[in-house]
Amino acid sequence: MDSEAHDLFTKIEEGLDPFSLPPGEAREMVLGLISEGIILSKVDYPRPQKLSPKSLCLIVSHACNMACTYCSLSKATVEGKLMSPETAIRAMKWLIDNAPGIKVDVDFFGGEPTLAWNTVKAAVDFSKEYSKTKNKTVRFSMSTNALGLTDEMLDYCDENYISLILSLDGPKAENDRCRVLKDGRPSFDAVLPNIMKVAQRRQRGWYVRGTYSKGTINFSDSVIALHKMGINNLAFEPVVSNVSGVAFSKEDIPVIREEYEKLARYYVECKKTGVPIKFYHFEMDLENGPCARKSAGGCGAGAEYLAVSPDEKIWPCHQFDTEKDFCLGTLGDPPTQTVYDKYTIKNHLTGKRECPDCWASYFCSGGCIASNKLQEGDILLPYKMGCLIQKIRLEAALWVYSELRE
Amino acid sequence: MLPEVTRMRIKIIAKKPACSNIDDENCRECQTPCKSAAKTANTISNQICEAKGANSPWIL
Ligand code: SF4
Ligand code: SF4
Repeated sequence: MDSEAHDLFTKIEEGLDPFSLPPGEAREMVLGLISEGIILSKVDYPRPQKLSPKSLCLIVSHACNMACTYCSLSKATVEGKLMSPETAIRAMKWLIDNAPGIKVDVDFFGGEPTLAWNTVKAAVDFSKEYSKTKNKTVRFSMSTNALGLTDEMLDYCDENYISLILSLDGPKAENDRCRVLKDGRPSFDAVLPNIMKVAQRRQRGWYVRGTYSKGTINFSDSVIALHKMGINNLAFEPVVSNVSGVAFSKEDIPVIREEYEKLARYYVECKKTGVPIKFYHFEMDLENGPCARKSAGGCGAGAEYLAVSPDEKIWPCHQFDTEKDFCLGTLGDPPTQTVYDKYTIKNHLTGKRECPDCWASYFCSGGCIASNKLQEGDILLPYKMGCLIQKIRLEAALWVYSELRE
Repeated sequence: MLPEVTRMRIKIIAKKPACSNIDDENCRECQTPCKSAAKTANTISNQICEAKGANSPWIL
């Protein structure tokens, strides 16, 4: 784009009516882009009308075999309860019976889900058979710290297409800052062999997920170091915290921007030279993305995504586990249409006051409502740091997209 | 890395609405974002429409 076109688009952004442009090349180009729906497009985003649970987080374990210092579930993990196989089967039956579509997604979560391995297997074995009678396809994932991942578990996960999300915060020094074992010893050396086993046996269906915080703000180095160790599937997320020394502040934003930009350059370099790498948040598909309706529905928490805890309570998502005011019901007394309506309406782009005019709204939909609640005290108020980081990350992803497209 | 020109291009791309290739108002075939991002803050940039095809048994 030349500077003339740039100035023109800036004026349009500022409110210039494109139809008032004099005849000529510029007017033709602008009106062409409008008619193709590329700029200044207006979409209507109706909310889904029906109760539509589609994906479930089965919190099969409130126990954990590690003691990470930033754990968001530490309140819930105190009592260490495991979900019984019967509860998991009831939850799966409820989901499969009520899901409106064909595809149903389930994540085994904790605490540490491998501690409730029999429950995981019971849920998978039941769902495989039961889903056939209801013409559904169930897809599974498991979020694990990998500490207790055995070969027998890995074989079972392979046989049943259970995707694995493996927690690791970087190379040894960075990982061991927060990710520690029960007795306080560092965890890196204990979990790495299991993670490398997955990396070596799987082409897809896994990734390593890390968290970066103020103390590990140079996370691009961590991602690059892990990649150089042979871990090709990666996702790194900013911590959501109020703890000083861990939480981010506005002053950190320029550094975070530099980190994403550095990572984006590394990523493009790898892709252009054929080195396999997948950084989850740079994998963007602008042509085949979800429809506007889906985009506006955000993360779906409380509307199409729900979590079930070991005590059979149903929550808007795993992050609300133990937040009593947000409990939607139980497996014995499941949520009604009225309860769904409450969240379908709230957890929607149009319900988030600051978001509908944001350029990133199709990709962000107002952020994580759990983080909004934790940081701003209101599920509808975008969490400020999250909002800033989201836009930085999306800009880097769009830059990657444009570089790889050319 | 992101000079003004690229930022502008980004803005234009970003303003393009997500696909509108399905008519079923209640279609729920594609993944739930946080779910697919597996416990990450909501992001749908890496979602794809699954109304037609995308029948892999893998979530990821
Ligand atoms: S980036 Fe911020 S303003 Fe934009 S949609 Fe997300 S939370 Fe809302
Ligand atoms: S509220 Fe946050 S953690 Fe929960 S599903 Fe939505 S984005 Fe994910």
